Amino acid sequence: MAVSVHLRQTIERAKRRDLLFVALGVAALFLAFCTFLALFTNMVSAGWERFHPGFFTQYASRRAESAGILAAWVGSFAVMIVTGLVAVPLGIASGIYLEEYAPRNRLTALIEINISNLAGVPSIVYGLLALGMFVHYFNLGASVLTAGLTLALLILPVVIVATREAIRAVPGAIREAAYALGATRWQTVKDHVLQYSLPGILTGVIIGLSRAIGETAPIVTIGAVSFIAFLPPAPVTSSFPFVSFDWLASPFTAMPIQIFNWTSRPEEAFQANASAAALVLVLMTLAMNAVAIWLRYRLRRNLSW
Amino acid sequence: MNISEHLSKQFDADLTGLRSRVVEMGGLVDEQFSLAIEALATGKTLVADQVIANDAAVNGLEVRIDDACAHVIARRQPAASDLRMVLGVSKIVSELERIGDKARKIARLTRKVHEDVARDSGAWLSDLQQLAGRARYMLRDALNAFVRSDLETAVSVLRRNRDFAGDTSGASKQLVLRMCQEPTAVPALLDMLSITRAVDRVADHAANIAEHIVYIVRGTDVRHATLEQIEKEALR
Amino acid sequence: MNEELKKPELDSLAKKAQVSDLSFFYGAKQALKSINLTVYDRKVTALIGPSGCGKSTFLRCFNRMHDLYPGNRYQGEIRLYPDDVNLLAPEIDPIEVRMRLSMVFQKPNPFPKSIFENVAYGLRIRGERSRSVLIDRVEEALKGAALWNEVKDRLEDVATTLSGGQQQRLCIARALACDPELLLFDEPTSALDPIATASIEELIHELREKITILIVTHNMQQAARVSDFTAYMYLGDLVEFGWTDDVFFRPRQKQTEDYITGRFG
Repeated sequence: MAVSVHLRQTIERAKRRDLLFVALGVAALFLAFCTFLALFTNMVSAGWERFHPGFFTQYASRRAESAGILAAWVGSFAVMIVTGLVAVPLGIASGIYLEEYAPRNRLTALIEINISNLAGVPSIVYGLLALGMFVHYFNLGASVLTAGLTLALLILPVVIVATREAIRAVPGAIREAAYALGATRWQTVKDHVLQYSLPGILTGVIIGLSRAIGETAPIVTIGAVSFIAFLPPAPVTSSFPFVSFDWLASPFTAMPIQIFNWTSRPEEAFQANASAAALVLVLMTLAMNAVAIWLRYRLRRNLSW
Repeated sequence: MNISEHLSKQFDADLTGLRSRVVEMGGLVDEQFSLAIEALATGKTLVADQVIANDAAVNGLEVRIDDACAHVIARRQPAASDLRMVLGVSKIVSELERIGDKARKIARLTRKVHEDVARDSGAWLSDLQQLAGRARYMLRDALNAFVRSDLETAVSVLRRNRDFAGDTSGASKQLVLRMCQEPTAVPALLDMLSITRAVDRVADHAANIAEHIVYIVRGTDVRHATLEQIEKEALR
Repeated sequence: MNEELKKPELDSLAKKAQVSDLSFFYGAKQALKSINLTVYDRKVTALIGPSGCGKSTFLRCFNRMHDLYPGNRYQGEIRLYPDDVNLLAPEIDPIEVRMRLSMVFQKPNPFPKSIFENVAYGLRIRGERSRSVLIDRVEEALKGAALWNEVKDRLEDVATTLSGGQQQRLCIARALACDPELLLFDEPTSALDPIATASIEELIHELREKITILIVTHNMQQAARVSDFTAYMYLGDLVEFGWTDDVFFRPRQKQTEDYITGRFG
């Protein structure tokens, strides 16, 4: 049976529309990619002269050539550790509770809506909250701990939502199989649900941390200074008890602040520093994403349904 | 029998086809029997020949209907009343074929003895015609009972068969007596005895059909039960 | 008259479970209406009926699966023998019930773990820690499910690499490993091809000598092939229950007859 002329024309028209959409998509992708490439090359070209090992081991200074990001990246790193240690357990546990245990009533619905909303609250609001609560009321001062807690609150909704979505993706059939064998709710969650949702949860965690590492407003608000010539005290000491928590209470600076500080200097030379620091920040973020992708791959390989 | 329709129209058509073919075969066999008796009474050997020739058609129908039953079972996996009907049809068709055989036998014997029967002054022929008439009624009632799933009619056929057996045996005894009285007529009398027995067997086959009808409708196999047991089972 | 010489009297058979006046409500909607049924020991009882008749709902009452979702309510009793306990009593822990009864689901749902871990999981949550005991019990269960020979050399492979029929037999092994008193099958072969289906049916036939089986199926011929007793359900009611031979040859209710002969779906 031959295809009629009319039908053939309709097919041709549909195919042309198809091609048009492909072209538009490629163009959009190209545009986005070129923009990123432009920014990246600009950063690299502007900051390359500063990109030497000394950059990473020197403190900030009034002379651009010898200004480094040591305090900044150590500060960022310390804050990220606190953020991670607070946000991840809290977020995952809340996600598990909300998804598996919470009864489906109005209160739970209210909580869910609020969590989604919190994800969209401007970060400076978190900064103000932290200023009032952590810095003044709890008297924690402008420390690594305060910054870590603030950023943890910031990314908590992201982790919770990612956890819930990942748990929801576990097929009900697996759950029913576990329950039918006589497993309790916690056994089902621990032995089956969590294992399978771990890739998704990890993705959410990394996304959250990537966001936190670049947040400037909240940590500025709580009072992180931009010119620091010392590092927080080391967490390990040479005498008993060999572990110190003094670093939590220490003042600090972070990468975004350092970058901001350098861009607002009138001297042209500091722009190069800013670009180099920005490049380092981008690379740190990319590295975290790479870790996330690798972890997801490793976990996914063992679990497929 | 369940008369409501299957979801598969084809299945309905298959079962209806089976039933109507049974009726067709029943009609053919009834006619064969009637023609055979007519040939005997009138002496028309041409009619007898026709009956003998037509038996092939009866046998052909039996084969085709059995084949159709096998196909329905293979294709449809019938259950419950449908299954009982298909199995029952297969058995009924077998009885009908044997009735056809009896008709052919009567026709063959007619060719041999029609002159002796014509010269015979006894009441044998008229008795036989009466008996044959009753047997035909029984057959027709059995077929009607099949079509309508009518257990009362089926049981009445079984009751009549019980009386019938007594009557044919009476006629047979008379023939045996005559054999003692007229030794020269023995060959012919023997053939007439065979014809009497054949008519008796036709009634038996009709009764068997009635038993198969009870199986189809009730699901109980009453082939070896007493009449009282059958009545209790069928008419409850 | 044909006497049923081959079938024993129902009274002489041992009972495994007795369902009395069982009603079930999904919220306000009544899905089961006052069902009374006896599950006989070491016999296969099949539940048939059109979609929505409540047969799966009924099956899931046995192992309290409805407790997992809010808004469900039971009425009536399911008494399990020999200890005569009402499985639906609120004071009975559903976890305990599920430890005594095992279920095999419609779509094979092995855990995405190794074959060994799948079968061992039920034993682990029952507190079995000894590796050697686990190995023995896993082997026994896999043999009972007619799967041992096919997987004995690859117990550490992920279960999802097995074919559909093998996965379902793995789920059966997983259920058997827990030594259940009653095995519940919820349309176990509707997702499988005819050959896999036949092997599962053969397995059910072998299992029946040791364990009582309750199977829901929408395939009437399967019920006819596999079960000793058949229950026909319609819209939440139990319409007829009896020996499978009787139900399929000479059903008492016209509704049953209509369903079995295909006069309505």
